[in-house]
Amino acid sequence: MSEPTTSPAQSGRLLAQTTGLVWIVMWVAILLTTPAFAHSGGEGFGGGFVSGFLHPIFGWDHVLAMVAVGLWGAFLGAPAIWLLPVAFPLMMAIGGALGVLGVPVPAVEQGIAASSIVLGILIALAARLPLVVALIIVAAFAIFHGHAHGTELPDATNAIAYSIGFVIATGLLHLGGIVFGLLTARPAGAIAVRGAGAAIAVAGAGFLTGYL
Amino acid sequence: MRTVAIVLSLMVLPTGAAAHGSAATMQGFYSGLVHPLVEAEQALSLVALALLGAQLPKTAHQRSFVTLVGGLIAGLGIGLIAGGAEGSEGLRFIVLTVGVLAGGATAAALGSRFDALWVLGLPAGLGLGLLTAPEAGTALALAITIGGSLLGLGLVWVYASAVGAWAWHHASLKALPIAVRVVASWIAAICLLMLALAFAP
Repeated sequence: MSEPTTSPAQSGRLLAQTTGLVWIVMWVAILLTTPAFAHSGGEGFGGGFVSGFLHPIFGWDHVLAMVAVGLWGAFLGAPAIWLLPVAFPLMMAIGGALGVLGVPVPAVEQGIAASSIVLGILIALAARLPLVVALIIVAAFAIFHGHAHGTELPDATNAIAYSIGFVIATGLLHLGGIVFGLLTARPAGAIAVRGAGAAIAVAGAGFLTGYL
Repeated sequence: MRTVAIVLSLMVLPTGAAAHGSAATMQGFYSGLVHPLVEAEQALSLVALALLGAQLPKTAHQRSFVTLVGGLIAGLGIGLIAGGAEGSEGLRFIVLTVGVLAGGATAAALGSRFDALWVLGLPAGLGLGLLTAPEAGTALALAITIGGSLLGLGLVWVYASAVGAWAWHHASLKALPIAVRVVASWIAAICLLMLALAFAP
């Protein structure tokens, strides 16, 4: 464990680049999805996309874990700040595929709750684990989240649109966490981020015990 | 330069033919042109392949494009002879698998380490060609529709690849190569979910 080493100047540059990245990714997402909207006649695809997009946003257990990935990445610094959000959707999709195909994964709900607890504690402690270990932790939790969503995918209005909306929303939650996490360069910001990590861990405990 | 020449040829040839055609043949041209854009799995796989190409060294990048076009022509030819295969589950499997592999490789930045990844252009081209092959019509109408398909597929690849190559190799902003990897990981994830959904029991 140690304090973050990013300077305010570096943080400013990272923040500017991240804001630019968010815009780029959002535009790419819009460009990628627009043709499919045109093909599917609007409502069916639109309904599936909105449903998939809102699904991770309205599930607090998922929101907290996605944001936590971004927050922890910000504490870990480059290259983890970017590699964790790159790895998470891929592993989540593998978990999702297992869920869709009906392959059982044990203790999915507990794993999702544990993701909030573990990631929250790591953020609260400002833990700077080796990149490989961080990737393994995030990848393992991503499978639980993906599996939970995968079991719900076939019931979506438009499964393909649901998948696209779901993956984009997940990525944007990561980016939101990264932007918030860049506050760690300032002392007060670091306290706020670590406090947020503690709150995420407490919420995870609430999910695990059934109080939330 | 050779790539630009190929693309320009593809742009000029079908347009000239369409200019003298009837409304029906023009419709076929536009149908072929937009086909890769309106089929989500085809568009995503093609963009993933283009982004992977952008990561490859120059020679492998060119090979990727030539292989894709070769596969497309072969696929379209086989589709014409065999009567078209639109909606084939096996071909969807191939195209989506290419999307997963190309997107995953780009997200992991494998393109700059494994030149041989250009071979993914072949199954992608074959699959996309077979899926977009028109089923019936006069020789002129078929040729115009195929021209539109080749142009549409080529343009998607060229645009996505050009943007990806600029972001990966030339952009001064360090976040851009990361953006390429993030987008590629999203595409791989979406293709993987589509793949699972297509073959769910």
